[in-house]
Amino acid sequence: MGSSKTTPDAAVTAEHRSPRRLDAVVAALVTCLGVAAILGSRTLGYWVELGPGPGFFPLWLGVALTLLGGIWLVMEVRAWRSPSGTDVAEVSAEEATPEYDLSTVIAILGSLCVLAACLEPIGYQLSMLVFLLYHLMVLGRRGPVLSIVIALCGSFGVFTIFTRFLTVPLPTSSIPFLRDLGL
Amino acid sequence: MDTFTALAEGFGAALSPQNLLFALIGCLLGTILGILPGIGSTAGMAILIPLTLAMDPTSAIIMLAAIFYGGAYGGTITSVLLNIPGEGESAITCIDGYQMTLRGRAGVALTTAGVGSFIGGTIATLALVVAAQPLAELGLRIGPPEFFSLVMIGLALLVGLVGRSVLKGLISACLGLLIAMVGIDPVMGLPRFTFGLPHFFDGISYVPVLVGIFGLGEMLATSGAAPRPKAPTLRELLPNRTDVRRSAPAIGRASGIGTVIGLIPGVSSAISSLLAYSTEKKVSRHRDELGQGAIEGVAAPETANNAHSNAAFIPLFTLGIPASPAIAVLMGAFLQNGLTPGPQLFSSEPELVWTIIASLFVGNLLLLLLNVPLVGLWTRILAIPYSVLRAVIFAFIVIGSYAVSNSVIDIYVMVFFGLVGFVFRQVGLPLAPLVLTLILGPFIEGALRESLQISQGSFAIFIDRPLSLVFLLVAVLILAASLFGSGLKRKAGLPTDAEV
Amino acid sequence: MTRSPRALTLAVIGLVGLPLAACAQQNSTSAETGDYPSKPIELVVGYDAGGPTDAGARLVATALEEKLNATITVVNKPGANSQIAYTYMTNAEPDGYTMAATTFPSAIMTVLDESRNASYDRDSFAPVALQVVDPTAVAVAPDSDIKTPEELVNAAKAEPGQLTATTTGVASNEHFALAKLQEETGAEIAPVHFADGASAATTAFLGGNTDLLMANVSDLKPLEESGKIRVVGVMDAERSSFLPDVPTFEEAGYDVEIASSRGFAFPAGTSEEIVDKVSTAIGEVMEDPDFEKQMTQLGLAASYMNAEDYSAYWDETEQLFSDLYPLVQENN
Repeated sequence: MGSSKTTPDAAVTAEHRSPRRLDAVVAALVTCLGVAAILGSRTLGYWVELGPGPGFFPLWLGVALTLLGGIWLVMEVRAWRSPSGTDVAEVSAEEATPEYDLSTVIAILGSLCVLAACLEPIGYQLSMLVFLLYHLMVLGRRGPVLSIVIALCGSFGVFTIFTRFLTVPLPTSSIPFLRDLGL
Repeated sequence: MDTFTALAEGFGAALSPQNLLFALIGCLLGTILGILPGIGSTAGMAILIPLTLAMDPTSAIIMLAAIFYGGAYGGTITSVLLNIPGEGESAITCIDGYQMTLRGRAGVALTTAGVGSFIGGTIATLALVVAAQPLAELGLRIGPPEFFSLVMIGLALLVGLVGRSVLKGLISACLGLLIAMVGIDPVMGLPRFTFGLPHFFDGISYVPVLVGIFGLGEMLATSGAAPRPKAPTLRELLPNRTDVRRSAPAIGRASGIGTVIGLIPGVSSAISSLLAYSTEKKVSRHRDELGQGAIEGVAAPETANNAHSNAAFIPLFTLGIPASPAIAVLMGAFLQNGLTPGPQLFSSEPELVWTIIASLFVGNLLLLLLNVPLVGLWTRILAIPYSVLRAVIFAFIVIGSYAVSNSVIDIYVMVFFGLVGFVFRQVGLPLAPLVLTLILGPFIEGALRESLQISQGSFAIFIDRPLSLVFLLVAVLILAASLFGSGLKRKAGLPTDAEV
Repeated sequence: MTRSPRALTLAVIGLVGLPLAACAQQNSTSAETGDYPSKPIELVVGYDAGGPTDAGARLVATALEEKLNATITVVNKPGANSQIAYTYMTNAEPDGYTMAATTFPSAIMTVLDESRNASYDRDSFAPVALQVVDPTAVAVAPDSDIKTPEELVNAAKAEPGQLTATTTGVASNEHFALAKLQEETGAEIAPVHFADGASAATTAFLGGNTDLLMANVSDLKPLEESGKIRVVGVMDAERSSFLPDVPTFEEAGYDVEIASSRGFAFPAGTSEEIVDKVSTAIGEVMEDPDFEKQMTQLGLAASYMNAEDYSAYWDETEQLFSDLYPLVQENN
């Protein structure tokens, strides 16, 4: 698990738009995660004096995930090779694959990560201002006046309310120059 | 003085204009704090305690209790309208609540949640009045072994939640459990899968995970063609006859579940809402519609969590044990006002106790009276253009995740699980099993370990204790019924339970 | 959602008449010790808002604001037994504007447990003042035969490892207390760890799942008053003012003194004048009878120590816990 999974996932999504291929990749990731859990549980102690140790559940979960992921992978790969075998992973109405736009998905995830990375150095107010302006004007194609008003409310307004009245301290900048400006 | 005279006098005091006003302010404040990101009812109460110090103790406690209810309802509003669970207890509501919103039935969902909360809360408070002492004893009988077996019932109910593909359902459940394993283990105190970050020593917090999987995941999945959840018209706010007929049994069952689970100190109300939802998935007449915007999927968890919250007052008043973090904050308010909660409070301050109990009824009623008319206002949120709404929701979930423990790591967790939720939707992995095991997971290991320490390593403790044995048998029955039932149906050529 | 939360919040604030917090903005000049404090002080608390540590810290913060004429912002960084809060505080500039609420055993245990890889140790803290000492005590069911510390030790010796006692987790102060008792008397009591905390432990005990309930005196007092438990002995040098009738283990001749305590510390390297100024201010605040009354109502046993004494107490406690640490590990 962890952020290591993010990159391959996104990259694969970019290359293959076919859900079937994504299914196979996710099945492979689940299997890998299972193996990782098995490996990770080995140092933890399987059984202690009074019963299951810290490694007991992770080991069995790892085994289960490896098996389940493996079965899924085999099913996907088979279905992929013989288009007739659609019974396996038929997408139901309830889980119907909705439409997504890959560039928007990447823009959203990227902008959220940039925002998170900027919060502590630059402070909440400036980071959120820029973030909201980007989403409203660039992604949302809203007019500048509305965007600026909303962005100011969402950044400076929210900051004031949360820190002053709700005692939820949102981060301020760690750069002395900006900090002295009250950001 | 018998109970009902005392209660009647309590009502007299609770209905004084001053107390009524504080209860009203509390409900309103609580609802707003519950809607705001990162501030649930517990944090809301903690923030507002200083305000109450200057007030008379009865009014102060009435107001805090009202904030507590209001906060829980505020979390429901964001779950239903925006698919953003404010707290673990309303996560499962997202599934059907948001589907209802997409179908233009947001108003019905919120009204039903309000009515369900009212009924659940009132039934639990009635239980407090009628049988506080025996119920508290019952709560105490659920020790670690019984609780472990109870959690096993929850896991058995999972069979009903796995959805169309058993394989994918199980994968989702295992992933939830694996996430729940992160943190310092309860056996040896070793950090486990924490990537060396102290931040994960207590486990990954639910809220960023759930907000990512539900809220962000859904927004990513629909990023190409924005959903147009339309704001309902006035007439569409009220449930129709079918809605009422369908939600009534769900509300009844969930009231029972929430009241009983709420008696057990230390058990979060998220468990009540999950068990209530899973039960509907198993027994409801419309179980095959759950997950696609069925009214039962909103009524059951919302009723259960409010019944739970109210039942949690029983251990507070009878044993002086704060059964949940929110109740612990309320207990702090009692203490700051010079009152020690516990059975002696009934003899030392009977008027105060009965006034507070009466105000629990009043608070529940006010919440209903306040929120049903406001449902129309809340649903206007949906009239905001989606491109604007989306930007604001992003800001909202970032603050919400950050504020859980004032840490940027939780924002990354939220974003990561947003991606996970997106992938889950693309490949058809169901979300409900993951939520169930994520929330039950930490209890499985903890209760197992505590039980074995009590029995000095003997597993017989789970069948030697009658209540635990009963729970285990129920779990086995549920499993057997699912397997056997699906076998029969398969013979008859009908869709099996597990596929529903 | 755009405007409504903001507008509503403002309306609500007007409604309740929340007093405007003093909004001291940051000064651009760096802080001289003479005009300290010249900007808001951050007080980091390693537990959730509303808990006892948080309640005590907020009480002190409010009183100190007046005494020092400064703004003090309480920041909750809950989790990992305060390790996150300590890591944050010990990494902050030692300029007197970041302070943490420090609790024992967490401040010591997180350092001793090597698997936690704490980035700080004893020398990273500049102790300021001690606020609360809450001794650990042992309680039994009211109908139990065990009435005194001696009887407890004898009962435990009669059936080694058969008596069970609650703790609030591996390497919690209750767990250390059991280890110390065993080291001192040879009485072996089996711990049952309730990592979810004192209320889960209390519930399990009241439900008859364990023989003994171990907890802080302040948590036991209301249960004793309601007749649900009988406190057998307090693990302190002197009797507790909350439970004056209960003997100490010391009185019975067992040298077992374990307590959880709460105080305040700056990062190491903070100038001595600042430490002394704040330490003295806390001392003055705690002398105020009204303040003491507020603390007692919250169940906090006021016990002030100045910077020097708190430092010495820290060293002493760390020594005690590091001696006991191997026992706590073996007990698993």
